[in-house]
Amino acid sequence: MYGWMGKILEVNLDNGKISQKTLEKELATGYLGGRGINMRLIFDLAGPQRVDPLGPDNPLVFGAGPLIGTLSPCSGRFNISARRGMESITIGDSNAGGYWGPELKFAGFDHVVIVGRSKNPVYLLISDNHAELKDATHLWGKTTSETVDIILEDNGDPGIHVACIGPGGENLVSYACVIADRSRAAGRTGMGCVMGSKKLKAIAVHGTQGVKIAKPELFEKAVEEALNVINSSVGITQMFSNYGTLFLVTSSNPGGHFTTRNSQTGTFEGAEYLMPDYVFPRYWIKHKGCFNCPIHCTQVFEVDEGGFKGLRYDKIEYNTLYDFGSNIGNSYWPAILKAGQLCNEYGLNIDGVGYSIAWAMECFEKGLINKKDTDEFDLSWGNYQAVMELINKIAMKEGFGDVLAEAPARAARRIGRGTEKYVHAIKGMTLYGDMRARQGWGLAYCVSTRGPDHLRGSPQAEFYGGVYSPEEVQRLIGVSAEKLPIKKGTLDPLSLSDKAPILVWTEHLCTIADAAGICKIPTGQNYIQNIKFPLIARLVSAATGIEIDEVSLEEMGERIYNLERVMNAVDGITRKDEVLPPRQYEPLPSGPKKGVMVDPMRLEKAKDEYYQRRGWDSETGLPTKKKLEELGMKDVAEQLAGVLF
Amino acid sequence: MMKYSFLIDPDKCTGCRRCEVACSFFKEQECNPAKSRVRVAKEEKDFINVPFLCVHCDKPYCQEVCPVEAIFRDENTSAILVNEDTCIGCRLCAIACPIGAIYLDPEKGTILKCDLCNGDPKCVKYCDVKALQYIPGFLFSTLKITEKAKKFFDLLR
Repeated sequence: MYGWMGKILEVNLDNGKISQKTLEKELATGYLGGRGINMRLIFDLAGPQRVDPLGPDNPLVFGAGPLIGTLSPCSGRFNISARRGMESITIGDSNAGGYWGPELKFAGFDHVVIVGRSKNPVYLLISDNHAELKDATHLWGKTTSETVDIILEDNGDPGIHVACIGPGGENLVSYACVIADRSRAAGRTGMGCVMGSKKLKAIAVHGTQGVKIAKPELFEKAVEEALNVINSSVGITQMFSNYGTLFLVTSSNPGGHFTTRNSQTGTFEGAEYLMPDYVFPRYWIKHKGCFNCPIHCTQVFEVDEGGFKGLRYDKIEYNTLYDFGSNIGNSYWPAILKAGQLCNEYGLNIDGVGYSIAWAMECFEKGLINKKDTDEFDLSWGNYQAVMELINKIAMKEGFGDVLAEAPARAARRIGRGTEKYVHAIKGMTLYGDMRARQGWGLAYCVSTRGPDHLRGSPQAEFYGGVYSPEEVQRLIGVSAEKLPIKKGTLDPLSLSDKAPILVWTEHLCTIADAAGICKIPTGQNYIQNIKFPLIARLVSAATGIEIDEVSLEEMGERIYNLERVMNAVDGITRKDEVLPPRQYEPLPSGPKKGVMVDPMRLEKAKDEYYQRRGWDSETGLPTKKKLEELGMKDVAEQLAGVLF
Repeated sequence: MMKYSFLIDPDKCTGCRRCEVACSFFKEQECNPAKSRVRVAKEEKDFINVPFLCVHCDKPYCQEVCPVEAIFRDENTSAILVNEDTCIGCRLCAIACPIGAIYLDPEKGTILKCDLCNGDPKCVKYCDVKALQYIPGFLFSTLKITEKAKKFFDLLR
């Protein structure tokens, strides 16, 4: 095969049996790869039934799409998926960069399917078409970077790349993540927790197999074009290349959506100490890139003063900035860097940790919990020393850490006393930022297939309203108004009208980026100067030798998205679960967007439009049998007979 | 003839390994770092990346050590090249290379060594951050001193 390696590795941890199977062409052309094929493999194993997220029947699948490991720029991102997540009540799915995804392909495989549960800790070593399970007793309890060091040392091979869990995953913290290459988090939906439940500490990969390209000349041309798109995008080259996602605070704080003190408001008084022009001259030392990425959004920092003197770390994101900055009322930047490092070392999702602590801090402020609940910690806003201790306790599930490890949605049920009111979550998973000053995002968060998440699809165009007219945006996106209508409401962050078409389109674009293996910085997060369906289609066609045009590529995105949706539907997730947390319906108390709030009736109307646009049942928000058949998933509909239809 | 040289700058290297992918794509028609003639050595804990490739020495040990005179210098590009028909696969050149920039094909065990892509190295073309440059000798000195003196200039400002 070209593009794909053509092989799927299957590992049964119940009996230690390892087998290989061919990646069939129908599967590859129907679901592309990465997240797409992961979902289909999961559906075939456990789609129509409900599974216990931490039970042996919950399949855990790793997948690297056809562009991964190739010359196509920014194509190093792989997906980890499961039938059920633990951080959210949805399917599990998470995406990470680094070098692990390409190396899985160089080791000979596109996907690794893990089922069952090992009795003792093990790790999987895959190298050049061969795989074996190895004892991981000596790795149990180790942090993620310690795990990498030991595996490289044990095997005498510095070329190995490792995706592993830390103590967080071992101890079944609900939002434990998988860390690849020391600091690349497959962060959301608790895939580290699922991996921990299987007693699988790590998957180590190394290989010398090449990714073969079907049409090298056409591929080179498409690659050149992709590079041109990236290099001509000021947003990418000036902002992401220089500051990573950390520059986003320059627009979010004045825009009123820099989530602050457990999303009480969207503007942080200490934001000036978190701005790139304050942080970078003081702490920045260099850029770092994922596999074959010219953008190098990862920034490396060093602290040479104060309590965190000597700290040198990379890969902190805009999320880290609010999770351990504004949302806990802290403006001391080195503490944010340290908290980010601790989360990665323990294998904990930063948003899970940050929002759990922010929720506890607000409950503490409101007097709903006190020092007796918090193991004597003073949870006043900005107390970052307590936060460091709590991260440790969460990973070990000690004392109050055991409560916080449940994530706010479950933790509040455990504590009660009205703490539920301060939970900011949808489908069990905590929010990303404040939605009142960017309401299209609010809609996107409600309907997403893995809980609230901008990487599933976001009506980003609503930030273009001040700069461009609807006609200009229409022209820049390059899709006809008939197919994708851009109207005044589409470009207005305070409006909920005309958001459905762009949301559906970007959901499919993000899905295809995840399936092909491309990062969302040059694809899903900016539609004006980005890599869209036509160019992805050319890259994929030239790499694989299978003609896939933009229409069929978009349909593939729709197919994958519908498949995720029906699996969530099997678990009983419907329209009723697609609502914002209570605070989003209250006016913003401060900042430039003071007084703004989400109108629940308008949100319901926007949801109507969204479900209709998708051809789903408006009453339930579920895909119809007809829709599945239209998308070539008659067999899926048949398997769901008696369950959904 | 103007003398060209590689200018390697580890401070600029982001460790992305585009050079490796480009090299294997253009030389081996597949994307496979294990068949690349350039490799990025990494010390991940300290965030250090160093791209390594044959720098086409003036006194090539590889050429001297070759028992069958399979290694020669190309007159047009000054590249040190391997005549694959003569090569007996003893790998002494790879052992002798003082900077470790001659690699082995993982499948065939044959020598993988930079041939300068006929004077226009693809790895350089694909290195956006200019950690790898292939430039005339006079520019080498100018660029190097300008780059290294940047911190000094900042102090004097």
